[in-house]
Amino acid sequence: MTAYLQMGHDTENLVGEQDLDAFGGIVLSPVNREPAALTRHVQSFRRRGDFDIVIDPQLYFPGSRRGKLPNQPYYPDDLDTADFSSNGWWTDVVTRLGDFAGTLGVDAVASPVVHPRTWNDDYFARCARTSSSLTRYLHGSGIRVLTTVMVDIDYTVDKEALLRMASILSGGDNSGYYLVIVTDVDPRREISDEEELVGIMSLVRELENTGRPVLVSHCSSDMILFKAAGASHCASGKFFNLRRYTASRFGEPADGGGQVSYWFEHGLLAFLRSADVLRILGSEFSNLLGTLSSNNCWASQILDNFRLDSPLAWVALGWKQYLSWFCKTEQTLGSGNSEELVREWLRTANDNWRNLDDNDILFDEARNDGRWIRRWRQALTKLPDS
Amino acid sequence: MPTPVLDQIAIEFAEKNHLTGVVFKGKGNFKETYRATIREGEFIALKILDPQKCSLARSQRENQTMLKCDTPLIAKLYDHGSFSANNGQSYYFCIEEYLDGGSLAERISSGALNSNIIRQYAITLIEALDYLKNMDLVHRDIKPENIMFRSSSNVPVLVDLGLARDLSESSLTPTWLPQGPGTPYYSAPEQLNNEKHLINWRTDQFSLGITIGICLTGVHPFSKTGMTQGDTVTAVANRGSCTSAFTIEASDLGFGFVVKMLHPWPHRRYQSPAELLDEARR
Repeated sequence: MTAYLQMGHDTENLVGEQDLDAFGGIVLSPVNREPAALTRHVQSFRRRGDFDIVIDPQLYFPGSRRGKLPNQPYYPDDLDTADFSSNGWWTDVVTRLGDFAGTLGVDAVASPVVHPRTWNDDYFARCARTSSSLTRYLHGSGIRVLTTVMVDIDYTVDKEALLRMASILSGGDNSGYYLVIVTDVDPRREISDEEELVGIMSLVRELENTGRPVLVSHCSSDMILFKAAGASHCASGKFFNLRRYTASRFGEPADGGGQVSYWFEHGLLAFLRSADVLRILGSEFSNLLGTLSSNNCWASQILDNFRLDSPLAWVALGWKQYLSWFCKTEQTLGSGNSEELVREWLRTANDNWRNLDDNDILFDEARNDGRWIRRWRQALTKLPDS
Repeated sequence: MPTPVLDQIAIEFAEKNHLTGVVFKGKGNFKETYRATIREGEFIALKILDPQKCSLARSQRENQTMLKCDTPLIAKLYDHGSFSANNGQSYYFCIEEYLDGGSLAERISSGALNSNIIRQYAITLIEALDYLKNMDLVHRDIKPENIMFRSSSNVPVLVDLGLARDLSESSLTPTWLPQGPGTPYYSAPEQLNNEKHLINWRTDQFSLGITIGICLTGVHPFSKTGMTQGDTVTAVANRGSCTSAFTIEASDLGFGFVVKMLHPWPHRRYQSPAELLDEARR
């Protein structure tokens, strides 16, 4: 039970950083780094701590956003034109990816998948076969294979399709699952469709109940829901999760840009901009800031910064404050009755939002009003038992 | 005893292959089984497949894989192929080890089974499933008639791998029947619904669960009073649950693990033979 740091643009310096030590794993991002740099980073991470290092081959990235991917030794030149029903094509990718994973010296590799045109049994059967094939190829190497489960959240709403998917995926050989959730929700906004949340949480639960761990990738604050559903591990990183208010992830600047600072507040389960943090600080609800793990060394530095005559930009502090909350909270949820704990947190957040609203404390972002909290609570109530 | 219709073909095959003493032993959906003599006191099981009811090319491919099986838990397949009969038709044949200790079906009928013996059988048969899984094969027709014994032995042996599917083969032809191959009364939901992507060793686990259930209680675990065999098969195909009466009885007899073997969704059954063996041995 450990949180994974999802690498992105220029993220390596966060590994082993103060108050981020509850991250026990790292997911490498070949889109962002050349092969030689990935190798160097793995060696560097080994020196910094005992991390479980996973490579996600990221072949599901859209053509316009592949970055360094074409330079990776497993990258197929015909990725955009290939016949994905060809066993030979996949065997070649598996072989080259397996060799690269060995060269890198990672602990685990997520099986390669592409973004399908349609989500159906054939697609998931291909995912299971590819994973089995990679498992066979890496047998004896000590490298674990995680079956990449890339799925549109909307597809999981159909219970029958979900159960069939879990049966198909669990028929393959693997050491666990790497879940990549596809959704139309803006990356900086919370998923708030109840049925979709119930579906994706049910999938996590079904897969976990096969006895193999699920690592949910690219999480945000929704991590608490996946943990409540039983996910062994969740991953998050700095860019994807903090700049929530953009139209789409792949419409963002390639360098990971975005200079708006956010504070993550556990008491509201929300990201707050500078003005909102100051608004709460100046209100009778100032003790609401810094609840549980959102109170960390980075939170203290942010608050100290606000006390300066000319506060500095605190984007990087915000990433670290959020990531510190993420890894510690993930750890907390791995050690007890996570479902009940999450229900309690959601009840508290619901009350806090109501108090703010009753006192006309409204945030800069019109949609940042905590209305997803109720949907999350409803989704948890509807989540079928184990 | 059903009436043979391929007996003349079996005799013709035997004559061409220096076999004698052809005796009809049984009949399945696709084939008839005969005992034939190689030399005095030595027998083989000769199976003739009805070309109207099955794909010869497919049988040939799958049996090719079965020739690789080398374990006492599975009847040895010595040879297989097709031959042209005098009537101009082409028939497919299998020559297997002949097991003269009778079938599990016969032992169930005789009422000679107790829970200790059933547990021993279950453990051995799970080991057989483990072997098949490691070979990337699914039997797809596990039932009491396809579990035999060598003379004066209490060790069950899986026979009739004619429907086995090699999961490593990607070019499988469409199925033989709308509901997929196998004996419906013992089939898993994914077999009955012809959901090919869901078929793997866990499908055999379900059929073995039905078989063990019948050994224990004498009735199909999904069958309620007044249900016909067809109703029972429909209940399984619709992904119902085994009856509460069966769940209680299996649990009382120390066979609670069988209920999990019979879950309608494969991912909720046992995920590895080793895990299932552990439960069965408790």
